[in-house]
Amino acid sequence: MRILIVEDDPRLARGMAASLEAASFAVDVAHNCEDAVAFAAADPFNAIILDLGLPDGDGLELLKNLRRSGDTTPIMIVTARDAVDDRVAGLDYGADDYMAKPFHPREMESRVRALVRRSVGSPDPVLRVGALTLDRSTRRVELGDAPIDLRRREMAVLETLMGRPGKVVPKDRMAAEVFALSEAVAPNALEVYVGRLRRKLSPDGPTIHTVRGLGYMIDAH
Amino acid sequence: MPIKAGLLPRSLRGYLTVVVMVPLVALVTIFATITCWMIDSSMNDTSDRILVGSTRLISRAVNYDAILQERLLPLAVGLLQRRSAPVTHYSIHDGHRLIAGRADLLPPPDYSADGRLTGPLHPGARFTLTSRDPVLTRGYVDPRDAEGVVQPAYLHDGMLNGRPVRIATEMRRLTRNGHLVAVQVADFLENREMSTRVALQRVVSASVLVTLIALVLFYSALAWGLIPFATLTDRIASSPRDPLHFRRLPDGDGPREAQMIARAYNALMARAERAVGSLRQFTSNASHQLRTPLAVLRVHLDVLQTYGAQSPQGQMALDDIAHAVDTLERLLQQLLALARLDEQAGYSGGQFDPALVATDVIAARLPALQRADVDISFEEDGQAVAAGEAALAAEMFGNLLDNAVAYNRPGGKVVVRVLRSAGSVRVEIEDDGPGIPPAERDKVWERFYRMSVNANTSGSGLGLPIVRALAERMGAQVALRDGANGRGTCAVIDFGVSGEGDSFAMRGPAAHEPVP
Repeated sequence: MRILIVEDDPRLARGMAASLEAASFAVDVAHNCEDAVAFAAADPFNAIILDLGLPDGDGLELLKNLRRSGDTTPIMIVTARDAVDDRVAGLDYGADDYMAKPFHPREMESRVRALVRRSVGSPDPVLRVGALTLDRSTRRVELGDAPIDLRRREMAVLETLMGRPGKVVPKDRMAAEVFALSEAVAPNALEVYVGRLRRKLSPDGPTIHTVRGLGYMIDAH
Repeated sequence: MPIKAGLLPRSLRGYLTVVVMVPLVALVTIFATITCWMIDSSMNDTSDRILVGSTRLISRAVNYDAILQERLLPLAVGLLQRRSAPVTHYSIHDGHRLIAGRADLLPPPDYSADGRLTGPLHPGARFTLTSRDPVLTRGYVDPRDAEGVVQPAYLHDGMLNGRPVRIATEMRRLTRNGHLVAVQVADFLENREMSTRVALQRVVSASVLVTLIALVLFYSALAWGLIPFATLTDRIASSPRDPLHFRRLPDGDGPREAQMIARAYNALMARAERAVGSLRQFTSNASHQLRTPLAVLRVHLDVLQTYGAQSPQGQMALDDIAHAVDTLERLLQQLLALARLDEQAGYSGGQFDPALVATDVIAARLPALQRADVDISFEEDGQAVAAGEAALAAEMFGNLLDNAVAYNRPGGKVVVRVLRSAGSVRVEIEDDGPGIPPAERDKVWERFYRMSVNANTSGSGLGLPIVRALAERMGAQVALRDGANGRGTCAVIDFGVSGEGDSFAMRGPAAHEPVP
């Protein structure tokens, strides 16, 4: 899951990013409106966390502009302003959620997960493909009744694939969802993670197919 | 006028009623008393006139020859008896012999039994003259009627039948036989008093009635007049749910006095609303400022738990936590400083040496200045004494100096100057950092305002507002302008000079001898 944090306070942004990364999100940080617009246009994010007080403009304006340009990424506003009017304005301008500072990082994580789930059309936190289940809230993966231990990246790859079972997920799209811009990624990193996943799922689990030149696809057989 | 409890009613209506009715009752009483006295004296006067007139009529009737007297006397008495206030008690004595009337109405003691007057003459009865009264001869209009009158009619008190009477007596020497006769007519005093009492009772009743009507009219007029104020009270009392909603009253209706109250109330509400508004704004700003460092704390505590203190993320979290705590601490200090300044009343005189205070402030910050790689210098042109308080001035200088250092560049310069001029002492704190654009120079004085380029630094937006509040307390002027050569910012504080005489005495030597 790829998340964009738009927050002007570098220390807060750093902490939020570290928290989300610990929850196996890939996180990018923008410190002002300009960067935020550029980031959002360049990559498909699964959610944007937006602070309203930004040095080069108001977060609400940024929100309005994003929505006007057709961006449908779920956006959660995080701000120190907590007057009812501010919340209403934020939601009316097209935000999907609102959280007042100071917030608990775990609440932030679960709200972001809920946003992402809703945006892919399935509010059920548990993804299923055949006997394989992935609980997006508890980050548990089970094959039948046996738990499977996955690393952070493997989890991200599997989550992306299981979000669209039976469909080919383009390689670049998957990379964008799994890796943050700041991460140094080897060219074959995705193949490595997919290979490890295949080993952990075999022999009873669903198969991850490689569609050459296109990407990957998961199905129950 | 203060309304005392106990003596007077506490309501304005009752109070005014009492205040107006007491003098009114006194006036009515005085008026009724005067009226009663006039009625009494006028009735007595009238009765006396009737008495005296009756005496003269009978006396005149007696002074004819026997035949005529036989006819005239009953006629005169009859006439008198047909009056509305009949006078029937009369006697005519010739010595001890009764000619007519009641025998028990005896002549006065100075009239002897043989028909002589033994004492001196009594002055005749006199009444207040009116314009209609003719000139009288011994009581008679026609002087011929007065012939033979020895003692003109006079009034005196006596007894008849054991009851007090008013008696009119006239003595006349009869033309026909030369005898001195005493003619007397008496009137029972109790009869007079009875009619007087009836009249007085009517006056008293009328007075009471007038007083009661006045009371009712006044009280209801007052009640009617107070209606606008009762309405006003109701409007104020029926406050809306929201305790912070400062509703205004309509001030266009009602009498002028009620309008004045409504306007004064509205002005008060407006002031209260402004005060609460700015307080609300301040609280909201303050809590806004506190939220971000709190969020940093919370998020990094979580990072610390997740990654452990030894990991790179943990180290970063510890660093950020320390920074957030610093920010919170500084913010709290500044909020408290502002709150204290807001609370305290005006400044009450005092003086200080700005150069001394400035050097102390600089000395306390030397380590920080070195860390920040900022070069500082101090200049002064002679000794000066400024009006103000050293501790407050130190706080001002400290805040401005911190700004000059924080918003400077590595290798930058800060100059602190103390300049003397007639009537003021100027302290300048100048840096050659990026400076403040002219468009922002007014805004930086607002509480919590932060220039957008400084959003990432740890300031609270309270430093300059504190400086301004301190300046206001000490009667000093503070302004920002461009630094030397249009670079950086120069903060200029103009202090007043305290007590001209003192400061001249203290500055005396410095004015002549250059200070090294």
